[in-house]
Amino acid sequence: MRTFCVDDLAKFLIEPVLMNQLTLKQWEELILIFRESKLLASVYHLLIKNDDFESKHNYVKRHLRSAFVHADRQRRQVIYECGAINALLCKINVSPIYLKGANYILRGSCNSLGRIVSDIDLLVPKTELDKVEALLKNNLWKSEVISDYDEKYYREWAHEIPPLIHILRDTVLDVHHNLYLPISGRALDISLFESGAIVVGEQYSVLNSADSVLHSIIHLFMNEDFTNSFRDLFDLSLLITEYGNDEFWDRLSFIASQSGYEKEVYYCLKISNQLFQLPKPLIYEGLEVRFKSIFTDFFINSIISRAITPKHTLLDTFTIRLARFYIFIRGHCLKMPPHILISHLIIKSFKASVEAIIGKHYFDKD
Amino acid sequence: MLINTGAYSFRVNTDKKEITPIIDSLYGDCVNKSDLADFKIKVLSTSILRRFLKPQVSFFCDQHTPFKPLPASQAYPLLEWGMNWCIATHDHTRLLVHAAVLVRDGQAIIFPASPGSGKSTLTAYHALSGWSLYSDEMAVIDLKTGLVEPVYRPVCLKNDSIDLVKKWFPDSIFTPIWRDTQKGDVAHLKALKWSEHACLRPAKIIAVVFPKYVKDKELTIFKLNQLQGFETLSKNSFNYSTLGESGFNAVDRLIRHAKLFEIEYGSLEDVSEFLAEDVLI
Repeated sequence: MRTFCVDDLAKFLIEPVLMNQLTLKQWEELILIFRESKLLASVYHLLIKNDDFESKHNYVKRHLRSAFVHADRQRRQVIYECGAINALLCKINVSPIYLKGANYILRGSCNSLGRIVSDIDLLVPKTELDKVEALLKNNLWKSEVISDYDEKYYREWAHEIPPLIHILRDTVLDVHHNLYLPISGRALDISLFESGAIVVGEQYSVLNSADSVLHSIIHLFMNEDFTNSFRDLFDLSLLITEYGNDEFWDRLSFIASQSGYEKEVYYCLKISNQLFQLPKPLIYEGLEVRFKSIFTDFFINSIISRAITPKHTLLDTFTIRLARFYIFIRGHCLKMPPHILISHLIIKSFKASVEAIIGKHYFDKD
Repeated sequence: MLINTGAYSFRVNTDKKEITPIIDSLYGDCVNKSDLADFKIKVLSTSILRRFLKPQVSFFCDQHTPFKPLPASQAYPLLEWGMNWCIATHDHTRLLVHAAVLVRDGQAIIFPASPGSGKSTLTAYHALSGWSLYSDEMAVIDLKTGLVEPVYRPVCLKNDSIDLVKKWFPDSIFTPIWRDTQKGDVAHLKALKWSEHACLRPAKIIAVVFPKYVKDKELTIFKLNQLQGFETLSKNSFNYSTLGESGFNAVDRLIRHAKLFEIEYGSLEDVSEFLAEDVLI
């Protein structure tokens, strides 16, 4: 018998007062689940905001406060790194546009409170990519050790170069030249995003709020990996709540239709409404008319609603794993044309089988 | 199974049944005030084939494996190292320093040291001759009060020091010896009972001593200035940089109020004498 399901988690996030009823035994599980979902520090902030933190048991407070300290350290680190990267890339007249976590932290959006950032994502013009990479590599950033196959994957098909890691600080940097894989045939007209970028904190370029919401929607709904999807959807519902004025919806409609990702916007609005009770905006009706069908209903109600569950043994069920597997296959199919996909899956599954038999670190390069 | 170390508790799951009696021998006497665990950990056999051929074990903290697998014979040391990892990477509510902690008359001395400095031998020797063992591995320091908290863990001895401690203290309680681990031969020493641990209270740190064992060397004492103390302490802390300002303040308070020494020694009796005469107040 499972103590929690994804709906419970969502309710706790939108109505933190519900967590007052929990027993310590339930908290023990919830702390593990929220830590794995990268939301433990966000829960800390929600409880603080609601004045519900101090009344909690010491056990709960200790774990939440610890998560907060860790996330806050990351926040400071991100701001520091972005300043350093700006100063460096300024030498070749490149002003990178920060994406996702770094974007939220730099603009100080509500969802940045307690947000865990595993790497810094930035976007530079494709024409400058070689220069940017060379400059970073001359300044203490190095490529992580990856297999030759992965190297080829990044260089030929992906929208980003292999991750760079700072030699002294271990910070990971993902340098993008697009927001989705060119090999898919659905890469975006990046000039639209570049011209719409805004400056925050006096020197940092970030995507404007509507564009960054669209980027997060693409990142979530085109992905084959739903590991962080629950957190990502919570991000989206907070961003939309914070920035969703008329101008925002106009821009989102425009950029989504120009980029060809309106269906994904529909998915996002529908599931956010179901899970986080995000009010349906005016544009929703039009999207529903165009995209509602038995297929999309099935996809949202039976697949996404399950696959969105944080990946934790305390939550997993057979149907959730099945939904996640569907997402895995779907995400790959969206990414690549069939002939490339087949060879990609053969290589990846061969590696996975060998690792299952001989041991997990067989392919590691030391 | 729940391992209670006082400051932290661990829910342990394993398919290596042979380590259960070892856990019992070291932690079996602890009294659990509650059934709550801070960490959910597992030591499990790895891949299918590896169960039969050169078996290996992996450590899990909840769903993650922070280390590469080790030979199955090293399941127990892996568990202890994994527990250290859990604390060092998750607890940012206290300052954690890679150090042994010994206490006498309510006065705590912490011994930060790098591997090979003889820290654990020094710890075992004193823990078995009248000092209270607060920790062999990690000084857990309260950020508000600056007091160091006791943690109920065994001392991890390596190589020659295992036989030495057994010779000095024939009645001491040891786990079996695990050969050829990444740290050489390893055995764990239970240096105090739970009933003794339960009486320990957070203690004021009166000195920081950086020990260095040099064979046959006469005791040499260096007084460190506050700057040297700060540098070495922050470098030996697991979470100094994560804590930011509160970490800085904690280390700052420590170096202002504690005596700071570096010692080179060849005999532990000399160290005892030095601690009793020059360090304790």
